[in-house]
Amino acid sequence: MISAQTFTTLSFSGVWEVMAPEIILALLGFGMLLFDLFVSKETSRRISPWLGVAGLLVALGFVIRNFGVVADGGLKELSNMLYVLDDFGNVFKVIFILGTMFTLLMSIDFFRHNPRVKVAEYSYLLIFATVGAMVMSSAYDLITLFVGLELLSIASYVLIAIRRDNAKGGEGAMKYLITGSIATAFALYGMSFLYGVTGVTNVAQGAQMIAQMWVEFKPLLVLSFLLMLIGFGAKIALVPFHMWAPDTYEGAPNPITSFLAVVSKAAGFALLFRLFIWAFGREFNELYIYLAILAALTMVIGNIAALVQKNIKRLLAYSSVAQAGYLLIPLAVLGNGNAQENIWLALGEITFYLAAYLLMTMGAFAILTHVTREAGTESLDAFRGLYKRSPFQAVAMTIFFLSMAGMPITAGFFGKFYIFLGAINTEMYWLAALLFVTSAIAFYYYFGVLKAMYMKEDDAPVTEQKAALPWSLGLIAWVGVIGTVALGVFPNLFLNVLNGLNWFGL
Amino acid sequence: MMGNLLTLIVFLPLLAALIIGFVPRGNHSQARAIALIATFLSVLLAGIVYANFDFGAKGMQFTQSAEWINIANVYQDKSLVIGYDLGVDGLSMPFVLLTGIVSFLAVLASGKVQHRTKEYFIWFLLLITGLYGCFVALDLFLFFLFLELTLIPMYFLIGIWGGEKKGRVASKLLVYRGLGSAFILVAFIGLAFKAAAATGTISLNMLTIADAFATASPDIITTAFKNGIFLVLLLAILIEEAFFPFHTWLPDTHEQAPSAVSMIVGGVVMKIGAYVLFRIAVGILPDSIKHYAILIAVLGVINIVYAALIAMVQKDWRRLLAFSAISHMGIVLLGVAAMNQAGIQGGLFMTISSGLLSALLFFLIGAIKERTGTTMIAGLGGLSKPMPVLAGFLLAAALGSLGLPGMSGFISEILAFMGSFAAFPVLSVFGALGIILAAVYLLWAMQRTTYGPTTAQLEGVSDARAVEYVPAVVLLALIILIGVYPQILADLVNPSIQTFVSRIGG
Repeated sequence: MISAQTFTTLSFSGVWEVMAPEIILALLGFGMLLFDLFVSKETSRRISPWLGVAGLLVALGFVIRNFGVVADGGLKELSNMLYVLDDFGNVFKVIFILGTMFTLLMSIDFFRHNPRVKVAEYSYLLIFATVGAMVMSSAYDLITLFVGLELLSIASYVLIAIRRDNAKGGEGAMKYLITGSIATAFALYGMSFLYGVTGVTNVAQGAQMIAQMWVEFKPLLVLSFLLMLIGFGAKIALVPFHMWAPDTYEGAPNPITSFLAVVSKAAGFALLFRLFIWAFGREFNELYIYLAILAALTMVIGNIAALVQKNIKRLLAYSSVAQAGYLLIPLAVLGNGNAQENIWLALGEITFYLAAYLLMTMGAFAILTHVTREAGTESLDAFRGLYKRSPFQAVAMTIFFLSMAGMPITAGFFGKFYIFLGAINTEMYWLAALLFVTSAIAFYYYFGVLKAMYMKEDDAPVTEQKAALPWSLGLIAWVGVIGTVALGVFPNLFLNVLNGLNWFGL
Repeated sequence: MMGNLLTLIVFLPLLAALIIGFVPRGNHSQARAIALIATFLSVLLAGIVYANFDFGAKGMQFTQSAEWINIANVYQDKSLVIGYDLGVDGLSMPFVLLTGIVSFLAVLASGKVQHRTKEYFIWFLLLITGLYGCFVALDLFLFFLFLELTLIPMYFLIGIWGGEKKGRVASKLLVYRGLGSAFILVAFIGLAFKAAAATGTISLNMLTIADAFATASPDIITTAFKNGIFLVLLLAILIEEAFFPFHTWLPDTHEQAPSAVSMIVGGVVMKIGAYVLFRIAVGILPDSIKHYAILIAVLGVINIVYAALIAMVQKDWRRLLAFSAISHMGIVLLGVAAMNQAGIQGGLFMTISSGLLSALLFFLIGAIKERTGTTMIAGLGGLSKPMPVLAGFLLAAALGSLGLPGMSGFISEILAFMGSFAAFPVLSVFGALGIILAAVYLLWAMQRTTYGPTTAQLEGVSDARAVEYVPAVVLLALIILIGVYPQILADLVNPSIQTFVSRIGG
């Protein structure tokens, strides 16, 4: 572990070196806020999302430049170790930025059909939420970490309810707000125990203290761990803290739902990984079983609950709960053997699966946005006879669903297989088996949608396409299809990048 | 050319499926012609492989090997290299030929498909690629990929072109076989990691794993581990092969599937589980089979007798044939449990013989259904008058199925029971009851179908068309060929069986 370092004064160049992407996006957010005040409503509506996309691209460039800046498992830390720069954070930031970019693209279509939504407000909130996610992935101190978490959460609460006249949106936002606040309280309570025992808020110093005090203060530290697990677990919708997810996912506008499902969830995992693996270090060996149990529960309940869903967004909400269970496995099995190569393996698994998840979820939401709008219903019946109306949409949706179900030559399959290898490597056979057994159960509901698309032409709400797929949604679908298949057939395209990383200092 | 033969065999159908994708919709004959050409070329190439096959050699032939996926840190700090490894030996050669013959004939028998013809052939060709792939893949990852590739087409082939309960039955098939393959994967990866513990490097190549298991000291690969993995594998095989108590999906599937699909399901798909039994269970875990010999033999006898009893009360030919196939595959279990030369050989013979017979019987029943509109035994009667040729073939196939000397079923049963009587005389007596029961239910059904007075509505139905002679004659010829000259199959499989037998310890 990194030893505690002496206090250094902040200089702008020092901050810029470590936080350039975050600074760019934060400034962009404020800039968009001001921009909205000074230009006409029309211009603001038209330009704001593109400002966001442009800023994200610049930030992406800086993140990519930052890869490998810290060689050999080291890290670059900022002022008294509040914030760090390492490849772990960089990888997650790429996922957040791409996810937000897809969200903004999808939103352009959403704005056209919802003229009363305030576009500028929506766009900068989304940018701020992304900054929050990025802070979560690189925070090195409980306080910084908490600030990132709250930035992401508060922006999300507003975004879910952005359609003010939509009752379901309000309900979803309210549920998320209440659950989210309670979860935050739990997490903070847990952190307070950690601080109480160790006397520090810094993660690395905390790790040293935990290692020293483990024997003496074990009950308090375990309590702290469990409270934080509940708090963060609710944020990433682990069973049994997932109750908000279906309602919120259903009520939120489609782009925001996909943002919650991808970016928000990925940020939660980044946080969990860094906090638990770093702070608890070797002591994680005694704690992993809680994660394993949560992962098992999440996979089983998420998949079983999805079986009976009739609304496509609720179905995807439960499916996303189940996916969180799969994603938790790499972390959960680490306790059985946390040598560095095991941690590297687990990180590879999580990021690969998140990349696959990003592609398939964004693609699926792009298609479902169009299909449900055409059909005028969000029920699964909207997909009836889709193969006839639009073969491309049907084939694309098929690929996304096969990927979610974990069928071969899709990215989702390889992601699952990769996680599975990790679980077997640490001899967690039961969890590994559960991964594929619950996936087989999931076939039933994923294929239910396919069945509607290919086998149930009668009683389709629409028989003819009214409008073509908008270009922005089409672009997302194409990127999703190509990415899903490419990563499925040649996973090394991405694996080689991951293999070359020095994730973080241990 | 020679080096790429297997790749060509496997991927020609896939290529044809892609080409059909660009054929204009509604052009039935073009899609069918492409499918016919591709499957014919594949079976032709399989024939060339057979013609050039070295019968004396023990190892894999026509091998092909390329690195495909490289995953770092999978086993300690070692990488897992997944290879595109193909090859055939005496064990897989008969399965490859079976796939080729049955798939070509099944495509030939698909001429009557008028509804969504293009998609039908696309799925059908994908299924064929998956089947070939299963039997030539040497890497377990690759095998699993092909196994899953068979599942999706089967789902659609039954779900779209099946009978009135098609949707439910397709889902049932999907979940059952999905679970089966999940357990197969668990067993595979478990084997790979244990082999890695013995050799120090991880590989998914089945030959490497088999060698590791054959040579490793019992301290590293413990008997308990072998037995545990074997039970997982056995569970998977029971599900895949539709053995009691996981059998209910098979009769439903055959009842709902179009007859050409039934041919390929009964003829080839249902033999994948048996292939896994020989290749993995017998080939890698022979000691565990010895350990659980009684359990396997009892399961075999239960399946032989139970399925035969159920077959007696079936009213539908297709369900009767499904139970008859289960009963026959029970003999495979019994033969394998004996773990001697005759038993294993008999099991293999029975697998191939049952594949040919199932394909022939389902083809004939399909042809009869096309003319009479029913497969209910009660709805038929006196068929020998209006369609003497089809009725004659049906009688021949039924006789082959019940084990008439001079046909493939007879020699298979003789060998299997010779093996099993040496090992478990009492159980084998009960198993032999199956032969008598088979004669009862098949002859009784034949008698009600072909003899007696011809009902009025069946009076004018036509007999076999020229094109229908091809599948019937080819399949029947092969059944008789194996029956009168079993050496043709024995020469192929004996070297592999000797390897297996030599590995059985004490």
